Amino acid sequence: MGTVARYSLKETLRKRLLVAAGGLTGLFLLLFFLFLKWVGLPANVPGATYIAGLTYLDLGLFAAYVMIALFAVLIFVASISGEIDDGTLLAIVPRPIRRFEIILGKWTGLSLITLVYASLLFWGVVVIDQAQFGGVAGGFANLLAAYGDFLLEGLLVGTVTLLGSVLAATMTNGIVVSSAVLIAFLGGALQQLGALTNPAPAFSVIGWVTSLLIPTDALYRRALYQILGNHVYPGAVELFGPFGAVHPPGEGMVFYALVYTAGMLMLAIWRFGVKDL
Amino acid sequence: MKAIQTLALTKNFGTFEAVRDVNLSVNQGEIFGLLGPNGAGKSTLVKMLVGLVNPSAGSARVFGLSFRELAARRHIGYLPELFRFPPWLTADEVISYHQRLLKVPVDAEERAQLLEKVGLKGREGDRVRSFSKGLQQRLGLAVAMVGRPELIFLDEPTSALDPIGRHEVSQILGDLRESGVTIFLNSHLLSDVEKLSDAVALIDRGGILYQGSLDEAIYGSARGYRVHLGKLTEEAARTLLAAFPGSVIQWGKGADPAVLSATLMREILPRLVSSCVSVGAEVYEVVPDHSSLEDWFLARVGKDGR
Repeated sequence: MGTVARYSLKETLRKRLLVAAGGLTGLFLLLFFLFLKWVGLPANVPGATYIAGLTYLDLGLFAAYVMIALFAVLIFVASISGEIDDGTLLAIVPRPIRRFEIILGKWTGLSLITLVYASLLFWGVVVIDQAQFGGVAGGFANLLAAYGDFLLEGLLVGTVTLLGSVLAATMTNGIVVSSAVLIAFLGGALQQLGALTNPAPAFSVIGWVTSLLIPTDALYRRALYQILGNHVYPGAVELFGPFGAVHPPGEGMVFYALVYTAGMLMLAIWRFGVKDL
Repeated sequence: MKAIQTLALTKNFGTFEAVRDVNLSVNQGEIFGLLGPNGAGKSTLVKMLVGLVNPSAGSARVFGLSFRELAARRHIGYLPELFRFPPWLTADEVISYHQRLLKVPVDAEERAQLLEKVGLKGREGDRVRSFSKGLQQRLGLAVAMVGRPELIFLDEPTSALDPIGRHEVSQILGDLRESGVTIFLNSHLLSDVEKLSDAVALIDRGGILYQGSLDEAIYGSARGYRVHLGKLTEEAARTLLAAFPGSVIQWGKGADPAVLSATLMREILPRLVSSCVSVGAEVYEVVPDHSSLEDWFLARVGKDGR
């Protein structure tokens, strides 16, 4: 397993994907920094700095949420299907290693890269925003909890994509997982809008169903609530409408996301174990 | 102990029987050729034996171990038919990767020797993406030999090679046989199989049609021979025609030798020659009618591949 993990890491380091993703992320953070540095604030409005800091933090974290999901999809999408298509795995599987070691090795190596990427983005956004507007993001414990949610999001999307890579062709897998993440966000956004404007239970049901399908949005909302929910500015949590977190998912959703991720990994291991190559 | 022993090995893809009740026996130290037309089940059979495809029924043993055991795979090297090594690795790194997967010492000397053996000396540090298909096939052969396996499966090992490469591969396979390595050769190039193999199996529509020695396959049935004879008298000719019914004599013009054509088993050939000599004829030449593995293959499978 260690050998496969090491070579998966080596692969991502040598491929242009990581260079491109790293470069574009650096560019994003630079633009975010410049935007916050140069953006104007309304004069003589009490709390304007706070509101601006929160607004841009929410904006930055939303971008991070999308970019982490995309990165995880891209880095995992061909991990198995691509190597089946080009025959790379044909020389590896007959070696005296169990098939689950190949899956776990791939998962470990690529997850490490994803976690590093998610960390850079999350802390990059938070630090840039904090540096500009002061400590608007709540206490360090809340930040750590939100950071954990972002890490789990990356792991979850990557693991689902790994399962997809065992089950389906590369392009199909990429489209299905990306769409699922988008649907989960739309479901979550409807749930937030419903909570703000319409108490009909249908909005909550949509949010729950999409979160059960793939709990990425639930993790994102929970992370937001960690930062915004206990804020000194009481309206912060409602401020951002569909991008906010009026109804945050509870601890149960984190547990579900963990079980979901583990379940997807187990499924990938089992399916790859019986797959004809 | 056999290098490979399969028992009723079967693979179904849905309702399609790709491999059906295959019982194969491969001796240690021999080159075993697997023949068959396209879609006969050759690659599926090889893939089952190396653990890439799960059988629907039956079993196989490699050096007495179940082919599902990791211990069995330590004895095996494999060159797939359609494969590619990670293009971002160098040739040296590819071999090093497989040394690690095999859990053998990551020995630089072994890597250098293997790359030299397959004609890739000087290309150790080049990325695989710069290799042609033929060079990748050479690298694949080197990878199949990592860790000194006792059994090597080669699936179309020369399909992308030029004549020099094919000659070199033949030499390598010969050397491996000399050192006691068993080779399971799956190739469409019947001339390669004929030149190298000790035993063959013919598979068609998933079932084994023939398994045995190559000599028996080619010479196991009667074939035609032409014997060029000098000083053959008419009486001697009559004696020979009576002794070998069905044979025909074509008289030469002038001093040209006569040609006796007969269809017989190879074992009878010495008696024919001896009879020719005993009736006072001079034997100049014995020429077998063209008959090769290809003729045998076509006769068994049919010229249309079915």
